[in-house]
Amino acid sequence: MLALPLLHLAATAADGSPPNALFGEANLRLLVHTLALAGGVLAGALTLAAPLAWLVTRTDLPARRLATLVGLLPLAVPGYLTAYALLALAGPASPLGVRLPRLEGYPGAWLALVLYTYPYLFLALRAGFARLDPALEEAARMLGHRPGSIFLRVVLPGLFPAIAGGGLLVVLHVFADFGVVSLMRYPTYSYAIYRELAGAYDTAAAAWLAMGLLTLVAPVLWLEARLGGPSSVHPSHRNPPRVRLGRARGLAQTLFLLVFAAGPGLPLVALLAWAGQARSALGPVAGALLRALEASLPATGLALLLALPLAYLGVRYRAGLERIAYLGFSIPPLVFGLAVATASLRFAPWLYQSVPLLVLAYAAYFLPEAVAPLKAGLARIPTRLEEASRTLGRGPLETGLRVLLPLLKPSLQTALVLVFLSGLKELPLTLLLAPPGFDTLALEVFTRAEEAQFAAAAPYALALFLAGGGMAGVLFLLEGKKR
Amino acid sequence: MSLLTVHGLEKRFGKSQVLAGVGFTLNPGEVLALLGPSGSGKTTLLRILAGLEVPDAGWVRLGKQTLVGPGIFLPPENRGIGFVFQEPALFPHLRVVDNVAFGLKGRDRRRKAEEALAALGLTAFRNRRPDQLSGGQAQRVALARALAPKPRILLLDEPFTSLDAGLREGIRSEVRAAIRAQKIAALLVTHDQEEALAFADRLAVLHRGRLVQIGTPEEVYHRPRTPFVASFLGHTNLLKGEAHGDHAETALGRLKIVPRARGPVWLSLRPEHLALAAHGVPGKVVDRAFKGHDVTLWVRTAAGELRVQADYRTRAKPGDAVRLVPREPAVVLEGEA
Repeated sequence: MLALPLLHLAATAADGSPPNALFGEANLRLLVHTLALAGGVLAGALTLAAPLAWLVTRTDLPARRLATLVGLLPLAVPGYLTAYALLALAGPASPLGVRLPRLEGYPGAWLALVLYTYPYLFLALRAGFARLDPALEEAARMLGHRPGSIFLRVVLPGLFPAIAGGGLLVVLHVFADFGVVSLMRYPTYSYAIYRELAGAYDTAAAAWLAMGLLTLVAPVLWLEARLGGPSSVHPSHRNPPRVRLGRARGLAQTLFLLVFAAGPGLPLVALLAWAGQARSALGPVAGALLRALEASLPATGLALLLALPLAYLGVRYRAGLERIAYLGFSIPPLVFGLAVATASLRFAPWLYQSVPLLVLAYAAYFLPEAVAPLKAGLARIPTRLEEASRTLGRGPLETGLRVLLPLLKPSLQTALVLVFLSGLKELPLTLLLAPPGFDTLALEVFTRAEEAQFAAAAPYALALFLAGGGMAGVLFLLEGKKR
Repeated sequence: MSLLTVHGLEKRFGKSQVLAGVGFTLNPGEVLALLGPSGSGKTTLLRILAGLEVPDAGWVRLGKQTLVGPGIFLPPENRGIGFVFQEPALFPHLRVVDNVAFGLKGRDRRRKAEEALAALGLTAFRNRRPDQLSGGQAQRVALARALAPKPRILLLDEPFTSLDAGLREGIRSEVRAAIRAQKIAALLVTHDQEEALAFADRLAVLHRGRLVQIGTPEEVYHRPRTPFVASFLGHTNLLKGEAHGDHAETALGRLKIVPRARGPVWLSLRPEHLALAAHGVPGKVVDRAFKGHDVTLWVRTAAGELRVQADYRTRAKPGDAVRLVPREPAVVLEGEA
């Protein structure tokens, strides 16, 4: 499902001659822009995520669970929504009544993407800090090292896998992002691909650019695999000591408050302000929501159905099969969408721009989000339980239904929420693959925001925001129940 | 007619040969203990019998039915064999009674589950969730769950090791009673020799994937076949000697031996078969360990350092000169000396 469209895309690129500009100055500028944005966002996200992760795992910060939620909330707010909010707040008709400097180009794209992607690093670093064996730090201390030296020589190397893993996600998201750079008018590869398609209808040129973007992904994947070093051997299972914040406690809380204000708070204020001016009725918003559900609900079901066997084989037989699914995730969605579109035109024209194709594309693309929690859940179920069930006279299928499925329930719920949320807010795949007139919430927001119709976009964006926030809240409650 | 027949089982994992031609039989109502050091292949053997592992060669027959053999493999769910794992492996999402009913089918499954719980005195726990049970309770529920479908054979993979000594004895006698009541046979894997000696009707010693000896606990303990069995099951002193029929010349002088042999031999002399006396082989005490019911002495003699199980009243201490006499004939072991 993943490989076929891509192979066809490569063939399409090979058919058409490379556009003249490909090796020229324009292409070089795209490359520099893409890399500069990825590097800048990575540095910004790391600077923001590291202190937050340290505060929630290693200090006596009050209400740490709530603080964690605040740190993760931007995950539910798509980047183009943040970009929209930044633009809408700074515009000449800003509802705030004050004239803010207009953020555009690199600074605007950078800010929106940092606010959108830092939770990936926050999540990875939080797990990284939790996995760090406190006994190692104690051992270093007994060997005569001071705290600064311990941080540099023990803690930081221990966090490398987390930084590499989270950083990979951030960089891939920047490569893949298309909504933010489009709204901020900062041309990167993804943006250029979209221009070629939407403006010039030049599939071959778009395919060539897509191949260029793919060649950027490969070294990043390689680097991540190299940096993901060995984890601790024989870890002790004690909780690390927590640093007493003392008077710095207020400062730490202010930091979280600021992050909240900038992350989900900013878009919310902008949305509420603009929604007041909007004249749009409830009907069109409900219609867009229904269309979003029509695509993302079946996609969620399909992704779970596909993820179950993949996760099972991956965990029980270590076949590394589930890695195929991860590979798909590293392909920018615009490239994937383009590949699916051209392949369907060539092989199954009756599928082109149909809802089933959109559902298939969603399911294939968001498969990793379903596989990851299921894999983690399965790894926690001892093989003994399956064996016990077999010796008690239950065959493989019955064992799966009566033992594994009930025990996987929390993981299934997590996978369901993650995939559903992704489908709901999905933009680039929808843009390329949705039938004409099949305008989901994401499409309504994007097309209106692109034309600076901030008021008209607001009701749709608000609905999207509330749906995303609601799902994130559900996820948070599920997480809490597991413990 | 034996209930279970095992013949020529072979199993390899990569380069290591885990089982190399294992065969034995199990009779109805019998408890056989499989004894061996870790890595000797005990657990693999048990898992092959259960159908959780497939042997590379050999066959297993239960009554007249072949469970596994050339071209034949009966999946575990169709074997009618009960399995109790080292850890209880209770289904965490099911109550105790539902765990026990898991292997039962038909309309009266609930009643049968209640009976199985009652037989082990677990009725009071029927509505608990597994995480609300202590280790001993959980293991008893696992036993009730394995016995409830009335298996023809019960396989026990070191099920008592995680329990403390007092609990272990209690659950052991419960297993015995249940096996007798249901007239089934049991195979117990253990590395605890005391457990094997006390619990089993017969025991089989596995070493490096081979069955080196099988017999009643008394036979195997008193007449070990190889130096490995002699030193693995209890403690022993190994001596070289030159056998002449019913006796052998050794560094300890002339010793009576069983069975009759000729030529150079390895002999086993148990610590409790040596005694301190006024006459006999001279030696010097090098160490002493008080065990409560008796005293272990290490005595340096012309035959090397010997372990001696002495009376609890003995006053001998390191440095003392003592004399030793054998109280039983030494056992001739297989293999060239």
